[in-house]
Formats: sequence, C-alpha cells, structure tokens
Amino acid sequence: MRCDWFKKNLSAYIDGEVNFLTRWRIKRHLKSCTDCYKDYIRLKNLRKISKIILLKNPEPGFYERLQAKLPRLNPNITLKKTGSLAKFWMLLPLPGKLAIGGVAILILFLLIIYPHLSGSSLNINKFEEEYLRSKEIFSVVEEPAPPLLPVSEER
Amino acid sequence: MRLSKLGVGLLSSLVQGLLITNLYCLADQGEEILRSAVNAPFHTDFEGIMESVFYTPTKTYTFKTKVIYQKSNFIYIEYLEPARIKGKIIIDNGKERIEYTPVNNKMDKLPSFASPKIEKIKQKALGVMLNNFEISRLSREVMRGREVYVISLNPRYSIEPLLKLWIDRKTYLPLKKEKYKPDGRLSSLLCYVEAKFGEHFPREIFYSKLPKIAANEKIEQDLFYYSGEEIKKRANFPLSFPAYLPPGYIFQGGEIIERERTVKLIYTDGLEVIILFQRPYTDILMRKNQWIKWGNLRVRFKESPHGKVFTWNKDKKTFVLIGELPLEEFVKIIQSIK
Repeated sequence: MRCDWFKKNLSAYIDGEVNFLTRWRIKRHLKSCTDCYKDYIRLKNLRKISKIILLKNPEPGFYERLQAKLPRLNPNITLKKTGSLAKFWMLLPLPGKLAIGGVAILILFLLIIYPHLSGSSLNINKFEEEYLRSKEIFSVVEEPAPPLLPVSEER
Repeated sequence: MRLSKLGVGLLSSLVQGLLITNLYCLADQGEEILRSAVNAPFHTDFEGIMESVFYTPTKTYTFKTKVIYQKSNFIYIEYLEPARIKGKIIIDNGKERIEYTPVNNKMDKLPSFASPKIEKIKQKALGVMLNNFEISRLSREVMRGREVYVISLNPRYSIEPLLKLWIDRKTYLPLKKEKYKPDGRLSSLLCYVEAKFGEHFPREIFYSKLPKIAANEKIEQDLFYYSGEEIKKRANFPLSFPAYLPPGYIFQGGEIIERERTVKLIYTDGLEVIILFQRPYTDILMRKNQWIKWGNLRVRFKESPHGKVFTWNKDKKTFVLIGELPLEEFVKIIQSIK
C-alpha cells in the first residue's frame, strides 16, 4: 500500500467514516509502516486535544441567520431512519455482498429447484396413477376406473 | 313294456342332452355377452350417475361419477364425489383421450381407448381372462325397468376374485359390477344410481369445462409397450424380473416412464393387473405407512382403495409393486425378484 493513499484516508479512518475493507487495509498498513503509524498517533492526539478545547459560543442571532439561508424542506418528504441491517449492508464490501447473494441463491436452488431435478424422494401417488391407467387399459372390465384419491373419504 | 322302457330311456337321454347343450349354449352366450360388453360404451347413447364403493379392511371409499357415452366413439366422465377429486374430467373422442385434473390444473393426452392399439391390448386381455375365468350366464333380471343379463366370472385359481356383472340386454352396457375377494368378501361394488338411454348431446358442450390449450402445445403422450427383451435393452440400468408369478398371470409388456428414469413391468390375468416399477436407488419417504420385514428386506406397505402398494430398496434400486392379490402372493413375488 502506498503511504500517500494512507494519508488521504487517515482522517476519515480516525473519524470512523471508512468502509470495512478500507479500515482493514489501513490497519494492516499501520502495522508495517512506522512513519505512517507516527502520523496516525499525531493526528489522533490532535483530535483528542481539539475535543477538549471548548468552542466559543457564536454571536447572537447566528442560528436564526443560518436557518434562513438553508433551503426549506418539502413537508411531504419523510426522512427514513436507516436500520442497523441497512447500515451493515452499506458498510459491507462488494465480495461480502456477492458471497451473501450466492448463499441466498444456493438456498433457493436447494429448496425449490433441486427436489424436482434429482427426484430424491419417491412420489408414490405418481406410481398409483400409472397403476390405475394400466388397469384401465389392460383389464377387460375397468371403465371408468376409480381415480386416485389424495385423502381417503371414509363412509 | 320293453318298447315303453326304451321310449322313456330315449326321452330322458334327449332331455339330458338338451340340458347339457343348453348349459354349453348359456356359457357360450356368457362369453359373447362379455365380448359385446367390452366395446359397448363406444356404441351407445347413454347418460348416468355411477356410484362406486371400494372396501378395504380398514376403510370404505365411495366415489360418484357422471358417465356419458355417445355413438360413435365418445366418452365423457366427470368425477362428482368426493370433494377432493371433484371436477376431474375424462374425454375420449375416439382419437385421443384427454384427462384433466382441476386440483393441479394438469392435462394429459393419451391415445383413445377405441384406438386400434388399445383395442388390440383389450382383445389380448380378454383372451387371457377367458383362460383364467369360467364365464357363466346366471339369469335374466330387470334392473331399473331394463332387462339385464347377469354374468358371473368364476376364477379357475383360488387367488383370483369373483366378478358378477349386470349387463343391459339391448346395449350390452354393464350397469352393475360386484367384485368378491377369494375369501368371499365383497371388495367393490359399482352401480348406476341414475341411467338414461338414448340421450344425445352435441359434443362441444363437453369441451367447455376444459381449459383452452394452445394449439401448438404438445402434450401428447403416446403409449409404447415393449417385450421383456426389448425393455432390457432400452432401460438405462440393469432390470430385475420376478421368477414367480401368481397362477394365471402373464407378462403383458414393459413401459419406460418418468423421463426414462423408471421402468414399468405390467402383468395381468385379464381382470387384475400387477405393476412392478423399478428405478435407480431413491429415498423412500412415505408417511402413515407400515414397515414389514421379510428376512433382510424391509418393505413399506400401504393399502389404498386401488390395491396394495409395496416399496423397497434392493441392489441399488428402488422397487414399487402395486396390485390386488392376497398378501402371501406378494411375498412370493417380492422374494423371487432377481
């Protein structure tokens, strides 16, 4: 990994704004590159200090003026709160997304398509149907034959 | 005195001769009536409601069917009861036989039962049946205002059932059937509870209940029956055949079904049919059935209104045997399969 790429993403990394894969790459780079590690510690300490410093209150009427400058929101639009699952999906790298998609397709195949392809279990009804058909054809007095009854009707 | 004795003797011999001849004639008549009855549905105008009752050791199954026969070569069958099969329709128009099941919206097309191919099979089955059953005409009766012949099919072998038929004298249409098990118990009863003769309908009305099929849709399913040697060559796995067959039964033919995965071997005595299915090993997953253990073999057994169903795995293959026979006969067949 190049150090300039690392430096470009370092700030976002400290703020927790990078995705799963970038985070993992940066961590790996930190273990191997001493200069970058020093930069990382420096920037981290700077962030710590900046948090401690108390911000001076803005001038009176600052928020009102800011509000007036902001574009007005359409009242019909409702803002959706992003769930943890959606966040997880967004943060997931592409290979992870592909892996999950692949597993889902495999499960669907096993549940829906495979039983029809393999004939893994025996459908006795099919054989009974065949038996009745042959009985109609090969027996002299079997017209009309009783049909296959899915569930018995008891008298 | 001597002359009168001689006259009496001659007379009694004549009477005896006449009686014997009459008996033979009646037997012949029985056979003729049965031959006519086989094809009668395709040459009669008839509308009726048939009630069929099937008795098994644990349950009694009842079916109600609307049956319409039309001259020439047209059959319409609609199942009315029980609710689970209500609406199933069979139309045989002399060219093809359409079977429609509304529950799963399934439609099958087969060759007509009046086609030369099936006609030939029926004639062969009739020949087999005449070898295995003695047909006798019992009497003439009146049933729902119509004269009927009562025919009895008496089995030559103790394992076969006894059948009694009530056949309409004018049209030769069977109006009632009673089938008895070898032990004398009634196994099934089929009887028309409503019957109208001479009713004629335009055929189009019968097709209105079927869903429309696209003209180019191919659902034709032809029937091919092979001899024992032929089926061995055509099957894509080694076949097994039973060394034992119940008396009177012969091998009628083999069929390959389920996209060439299953082989169906058909045996008949003319009246009953035994089918042995076999296919490469498949898991047997059946509920509400019972296992029977015969030596090393574990066989699953099910009794349905149509007969006994046996399923087992052996030699990397799965077998299904279906038929109506005493249990001991099935044991002999299954144990003889090699």
